[in-house]
Amino acid sequence: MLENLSSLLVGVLFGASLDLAGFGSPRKLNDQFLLRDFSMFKVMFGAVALAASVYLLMVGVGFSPAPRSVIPTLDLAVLVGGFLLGAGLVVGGYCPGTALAGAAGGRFDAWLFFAMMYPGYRFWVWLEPQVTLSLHAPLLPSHQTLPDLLGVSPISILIGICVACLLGWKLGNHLEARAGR
Amino acid sequence: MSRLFNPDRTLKPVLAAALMGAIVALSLLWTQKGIHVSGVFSLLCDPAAVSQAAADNALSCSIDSPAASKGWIAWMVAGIFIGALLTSLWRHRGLRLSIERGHGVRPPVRLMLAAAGGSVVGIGAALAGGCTSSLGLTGSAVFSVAAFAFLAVFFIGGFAARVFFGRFWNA
Repeated sequence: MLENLSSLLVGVLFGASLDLAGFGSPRKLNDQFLLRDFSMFKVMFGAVALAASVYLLMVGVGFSPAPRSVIPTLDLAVLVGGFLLGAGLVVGGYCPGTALAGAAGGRFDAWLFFAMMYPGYRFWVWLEPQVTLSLHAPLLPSHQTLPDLLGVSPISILIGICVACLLGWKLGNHLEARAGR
Repeated sequence: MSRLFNPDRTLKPVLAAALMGAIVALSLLWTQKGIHVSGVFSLLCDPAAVSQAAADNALSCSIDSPAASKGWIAWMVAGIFIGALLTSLWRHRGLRLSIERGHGVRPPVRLMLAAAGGSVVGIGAALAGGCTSSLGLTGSAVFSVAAFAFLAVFFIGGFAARVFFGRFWNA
């Protein structure tokens, strides 16, 4: 029960953050791909940089790290699926989490988008055993992280992420100003 | 107030990033799990009908694992809806029913595109074994190579689709 309640609470906070970021709006999300509003890039990569910093710090002071199984494994399915998720966001206006935020904001298109995810999900679950594609063969060792791959410390990777985030943020500001935002 | 919020009561990006990042870290440290959304559909799949799954990938919400052990995902999804509903009610001082669309796009066209996009995203989430929140956001926070690769192809997919579908989002 505690597991369910902690998940509920994390969900409430995450849903609030999605809505407060304005990510319930498909127009705001798609302004990213039209290079008019870089909020999606800024919030997403800023959140990654901060989450990684807090996580490293807290693990450093003695908190239990998340199990290794939390780290996904790279395979072709991740790459093809990621491409479809990006394309689907532009076609339909949302990704799964932002569709929930959009639906909570009273957007009927978000309700429809979320409901139609299930037939798509179910279609792949039905199709996959019937085709001979080996999309789940790992391209790298299981659960590999950037520090493992590059042989550098997690702090070095964190610094790299922060620098990339700041550069992307500056570029976003520049392009937003050019688009008149 | 205006230093923290935009005119539509959304947070400034730096604050939204800080809030979201803190929640992702909280999820990893407290629940020892990532943020999941699309995994909720795996609860509705019949495990006996499914032979293929990334069994070594916890973020994938492996569709072979018993649904009973994944009930927390339903709670998390319910929480995301409730949290967004509460802040949306606060921001708009009530609930507005709408179909959000680009300029000049008729509601039936918008709904057709929403349905098509939802289906494509459903296939993508089943294939990738996760979505932007789980693979992209949580995975990147623990420096997963797969997560950064996922984000790269996610943006490539978005920009590729923009070539034809970007016109449906004109201001």
